[in-house]
Amino acid sequence: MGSLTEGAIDNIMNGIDVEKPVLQILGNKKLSTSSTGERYRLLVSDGVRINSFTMLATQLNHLVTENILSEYSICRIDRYAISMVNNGGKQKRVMVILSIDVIKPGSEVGRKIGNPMTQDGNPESESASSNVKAVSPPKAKTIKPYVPSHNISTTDISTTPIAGLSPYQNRWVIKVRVTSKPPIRTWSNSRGEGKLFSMDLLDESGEIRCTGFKEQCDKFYDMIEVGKIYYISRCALKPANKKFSSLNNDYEMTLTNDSEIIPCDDASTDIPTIQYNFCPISEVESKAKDELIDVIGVCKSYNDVQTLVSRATQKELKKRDVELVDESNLSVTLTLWGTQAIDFDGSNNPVLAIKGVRIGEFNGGKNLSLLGSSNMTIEPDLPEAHKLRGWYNTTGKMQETKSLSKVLGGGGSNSFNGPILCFKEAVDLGLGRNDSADYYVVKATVNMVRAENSLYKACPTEDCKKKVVDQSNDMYRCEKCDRDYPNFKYRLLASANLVDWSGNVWATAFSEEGEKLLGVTAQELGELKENDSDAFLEKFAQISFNSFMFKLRVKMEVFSDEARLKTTITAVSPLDFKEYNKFLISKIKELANIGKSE
Amino acid sequence: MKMRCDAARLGQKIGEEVILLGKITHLSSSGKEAVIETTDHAKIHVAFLEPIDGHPVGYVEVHGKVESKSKILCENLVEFSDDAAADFDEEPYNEMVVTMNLLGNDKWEPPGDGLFFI
Repeated sequence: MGSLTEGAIDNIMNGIDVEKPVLQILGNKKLSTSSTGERYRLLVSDGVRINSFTMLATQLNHLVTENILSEYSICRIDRYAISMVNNGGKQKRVMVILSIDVIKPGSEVGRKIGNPMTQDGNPESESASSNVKAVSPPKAKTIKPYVPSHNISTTDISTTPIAGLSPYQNRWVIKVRVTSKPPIRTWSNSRGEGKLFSMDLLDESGEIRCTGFKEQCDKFYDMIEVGKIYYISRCALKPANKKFSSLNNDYEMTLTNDSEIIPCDDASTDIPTIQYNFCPISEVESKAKDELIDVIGVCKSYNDVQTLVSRATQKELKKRDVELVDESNLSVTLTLWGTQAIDFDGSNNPVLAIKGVRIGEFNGGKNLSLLGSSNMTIEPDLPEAHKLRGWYNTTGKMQETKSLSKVLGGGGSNSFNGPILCFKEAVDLGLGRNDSADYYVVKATVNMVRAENSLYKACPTEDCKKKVVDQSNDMYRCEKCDRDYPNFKYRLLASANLVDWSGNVWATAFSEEGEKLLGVTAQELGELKENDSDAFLEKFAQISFNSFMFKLRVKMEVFSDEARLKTTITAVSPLDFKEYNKFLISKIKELANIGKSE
Repeated sequence: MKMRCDAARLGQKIGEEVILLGKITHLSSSGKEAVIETTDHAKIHVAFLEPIDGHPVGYVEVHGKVESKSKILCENLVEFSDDAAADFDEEPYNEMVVTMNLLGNDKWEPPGDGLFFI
């Protein structure tokens, strides 16, 4: 510590003049008062004493902003003035540095020299900081150099925790990590059009969503990187709309014209990367539809990517359903969309943690759907994830899960969603007796398919399947299209009697399923019917006593005041013996109460 | 009634008639004795009443009486063609055999209320 002028601070503070003391800078703090503009207060040490009642003359502000007076730098004070201030009724000396020379930059020193104490004996405490505002402007006042605010050294900004934000104060700076930044969205309505983006911000105290519109979008969107830390100030706060955000904060903020976002270089580890508020799958069932939750689970099985056309926008969408299970041994269907659906690989039963997933309702069951703002992490490094992984590997994967989502069932490769039941079970469960339609899968044998009235002449237009009226003049009229056509399409409307060991049902098969079942197209059948009645009947006879997997839809329908349970075949596939065997074995074990036999 | 069985359970069934599934790994020159590797991967000696023709390479079903935990007297041999066995998985078969043996004949007994499903 030889190079510092030991005892200099005590002497100066007691009114003894010290010629060109050599001191170490231990930090600085920006003060801004309306009368003086910006001013820096320094924390200096002479190796034995530490003093925070040291100010830098404003003309020397650039030494701080340009980071010349960095932490730990050793400086010679060439000229200083002492000014007396009233500190809580006590006269206190403040040293104002008028001229200073850096002898050794902080980067070369790299540490605090000695073990300096404050005058009260506390090592390096900032006990006096609350009194700073009482410091009267020193006499040595000179011209203020212009300091652009974005040049502020970012190492020592005093920040407010997110949890401390409220609409009632606006002088704050938060130091936050951006955890999510979904793509820019545009809107267009009667009041005009525009674009916006939002990002989720996080610090150790909490999280908040920040939204920017139009100009702010242009200004900030590209500079924000997910995972990086920023200082953000001067945003407007308002109560959060919980419908769009699962973040645990009553407020959300909006970027304004005055807002500032400054990247923070120090890769603080004290700011967590992402904060979850996991909702166990067992609680999903009791949550309201459209609620946003965070969820963690193991991907137990997954379906192939499906393509569908959105009814609202006519856009083609891609989705993939994944079965998520957690320690409650309950599972729920999670739907991924777009590229996330295509790229998803569930083959190793990954643990998925998702922030902000929406609860949906389908067929009386609950399911989860990813939104644009949702944030999905595969195999996150979280204690919950490791716990879940342990549970899954030891017990979870062996157990039968119960699904909250009625649509899911069967194995991953089985596109048949729905519980596998026998006919009697379907009756006993009262399927279709509620207002909504119920679906189930059954392994059944075709007893017979009625050949009579199995075909009808349909409108030849694509997508119009209406029956046409034979005008007996080689023209066929479609009432729906309100047009006459010279031709028609044959379509199937086959009534099939399906049986299993417990019962039987009459079910209707429309063209697609009927063709699959009979192995011929409706058109071919129609031609056979016209030309070769025996061959036509033979096609129907052939199918008898063959077994298939059927997916059936049952719904109560009223025909001329009589309620009847109507069963429709919505899918049919050849029996996959392996899958069926797997199902039977698991069912037997369940009923016989035996675990895995090995 | 003949019960499907795996090699591990033969010792409990001495004197009983069983069905054992496996592949012939060794056939004596007389054609009257063979070693099969069962679906649960054990080698079991099989004695035939009549010499068998050829050397079946695919799965065979040995129907016969258990003589010891590692020997069975074959009364009837069913050969499966490669085609028939092409899509055969040993794992689920073993699982099925174990389950059936665990349940024994009780599986045919309906529970008390006379109602039971698959």
